[in-house]
Amino acid sequence: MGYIERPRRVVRPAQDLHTTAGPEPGLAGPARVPGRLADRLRNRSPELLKAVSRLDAGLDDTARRQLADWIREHYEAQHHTAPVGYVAKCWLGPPYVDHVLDLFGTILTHYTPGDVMPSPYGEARMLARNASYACVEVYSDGLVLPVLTNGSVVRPGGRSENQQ
Amino acid sequence: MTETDYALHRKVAEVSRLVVQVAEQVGHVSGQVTAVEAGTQQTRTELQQLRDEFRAFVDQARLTAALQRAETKVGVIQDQLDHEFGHHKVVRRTAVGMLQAFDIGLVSEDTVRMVGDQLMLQTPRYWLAPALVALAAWSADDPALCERAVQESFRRSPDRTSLFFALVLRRQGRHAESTRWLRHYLMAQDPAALGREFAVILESVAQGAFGAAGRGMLRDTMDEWHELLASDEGAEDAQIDRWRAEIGGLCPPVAADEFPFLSRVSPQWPPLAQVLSAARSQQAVLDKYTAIMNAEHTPSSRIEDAVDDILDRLVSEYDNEELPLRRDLAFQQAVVAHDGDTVRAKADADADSASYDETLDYLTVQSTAALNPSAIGTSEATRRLAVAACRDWFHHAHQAVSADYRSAVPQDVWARFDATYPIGSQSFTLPQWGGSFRTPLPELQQDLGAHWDKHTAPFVAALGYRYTSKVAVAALVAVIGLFIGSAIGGAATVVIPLLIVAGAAIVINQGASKARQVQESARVLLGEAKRDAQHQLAGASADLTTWQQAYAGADAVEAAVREFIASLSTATEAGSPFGGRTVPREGTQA
Repeated sequence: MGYIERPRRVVRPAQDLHTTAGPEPGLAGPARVPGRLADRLRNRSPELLKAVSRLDAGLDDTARRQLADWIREHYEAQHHTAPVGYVAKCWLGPPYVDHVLDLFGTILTHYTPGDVMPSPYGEARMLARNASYACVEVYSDGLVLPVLTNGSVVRPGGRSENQQ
Repeated sequence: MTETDYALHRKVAEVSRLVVQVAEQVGHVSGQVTAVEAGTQQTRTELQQLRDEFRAFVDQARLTAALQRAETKVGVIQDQLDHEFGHHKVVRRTAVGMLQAFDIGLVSEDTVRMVGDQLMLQTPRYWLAPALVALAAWSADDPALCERAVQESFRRSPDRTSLFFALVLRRQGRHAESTRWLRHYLMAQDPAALGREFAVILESVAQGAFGAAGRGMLRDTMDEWHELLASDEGAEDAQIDRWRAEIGGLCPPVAADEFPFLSRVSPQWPPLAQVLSAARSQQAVLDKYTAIMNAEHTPSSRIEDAVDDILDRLVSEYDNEELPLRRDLAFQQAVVAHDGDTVRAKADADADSASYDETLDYLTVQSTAALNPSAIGTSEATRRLAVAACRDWFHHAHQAVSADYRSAVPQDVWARFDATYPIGSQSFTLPQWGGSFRTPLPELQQDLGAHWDKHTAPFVAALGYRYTSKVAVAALVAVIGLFIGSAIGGAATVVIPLLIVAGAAIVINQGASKARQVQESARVLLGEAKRDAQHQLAGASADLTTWQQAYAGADAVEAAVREFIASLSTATEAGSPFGGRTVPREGTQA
């Protein structure tokens, strides 16, 4: 200290720009939140998404029932609760725009724009028309969970999630 | 008899002339009444316009008054801050000045000591004053005084003192001691209630100020805290909500002028406007955060400068006693920023209120450094790291906002027409008509046209002249005239009823032609109104198509935003000094 001037050092940013890649957001492993909602919000596995996408692929009734059973079991094992069904865009063309895949009755019902979709599916209708989601799950308590193509689940907005 | 007839004839002719005169006058008066009605209608329209303009003026005046008040208050609060805490500024400036004076050895020890002592006397209760005395004592090699001064400073603000000395020692190249102070500081922290000075730690991470030893310790501690706090659902939800508010605040308003017809005829316009506004926030989010992440950041070329910058932030960070004033100042500044709109300013200030709390949890510090760095006094470089650290909440908030507006798109958009049109002395009210835009436009227009015709036809017909009642009265008067005429006898028996019939015919004819005119003008007016309604319907249909294109375009940006947020995980620490700094001696190559 005092009056002695110390040698100057030249400080430069690192030359090696090694990136420390963290996990992609939304894929940060299982949600750490305990409780029922947390189980539902856990990421969907790729096999599950693939199975769901095959549900409306023009299978015969028996095959579809088997697939639905498998999906339900998978949900119950991984996420404790299974959705009652899905709302998805319908590829049959006019007049149909979307359809409901009932996971329990394994029924496929097509709807035209003018038809009113029964509760609790109605809420999911406009979400299903968006191509960003792999599928839109509908639960018996009215909860609607869109699932992104990478398997992560969109958390419901507002404070309603804490009421579960 | 002939004479009587003649006299009677004259009188009847006189009466008939008077009747015609009266009829003319009535016609004249009726014309005047119509003119007055038109005048009244015009006055009413003008009054309505005046009222609208007056309301707009009152709103504008209120905003202007609020803006001026806020501007004045900003000045007052800044004065008050200066007045009450201005003397702290001198101490703050002196602290860094003293360190720099040590570096280049331009100031004598006596002066340093004198300034230290003086500031100690002038700023009671302020933690930095004894810290300066300690620095002066250190440079004068007086360990006893130095220790007492450090203890006093530590007593006044343990956290800030620990950080201050950690940084000063780091600046002087005393790594081991610096890390000891840092550990001291970190051990005493509760991640759920960090002091406001913690932002400096984030800043040091961004600037790479603590060197290799401190870096590892900080990373471990912060990872542990993040893990600990993230397990609490409420804490994480609070951060997600904060990010949602941030995204919500970026929604550009959609003006009704953009879709003039749709906004006028569709009852679904408010949700349509909201959905489009929310969808357009995607581009705003992308622009804002790409700019933040791509901002050129030039780290200081000397570690001394980097630490001095951080010290500046540490000492100039608001002390707790300044917070109430600072909070008020932030609100008033928000009012100024929103041109006097106190409601929006309040929403902004509320969303950001956590930034001005005395203690913050670690997650809030991260969010604040990302969303409102000026509130805790961190730099843009820190902001980049903080945004990346908050990527999980950003992602969840962004997805929730996107899902919210997507599900809020109205399933069915309607057009609705119902209006009242003044037609002369009467007004025509069109019963409500509604049609969904799912129906093809030609069908809709036809349906609307049919609705108009169905309701205008009886209205126009009702404006027609009521011959029956008028003729009946005329006939009755003629019969009475016949009786009187026959009572008088002679020619009067024929002449009186004939005259009455002639007079009545004139009156009826005049009334009928007037009614025909009214009917004709009503037909023209209503025809125009019908064409206008059909024109509006077609316009609204075109507007809806434009809206759909605008929405699809705005919503398509969501994928880019999602990709951008995902990219934050890889872009985090690359190029930041935290990634490692090379510190060669002068004259050697890196």
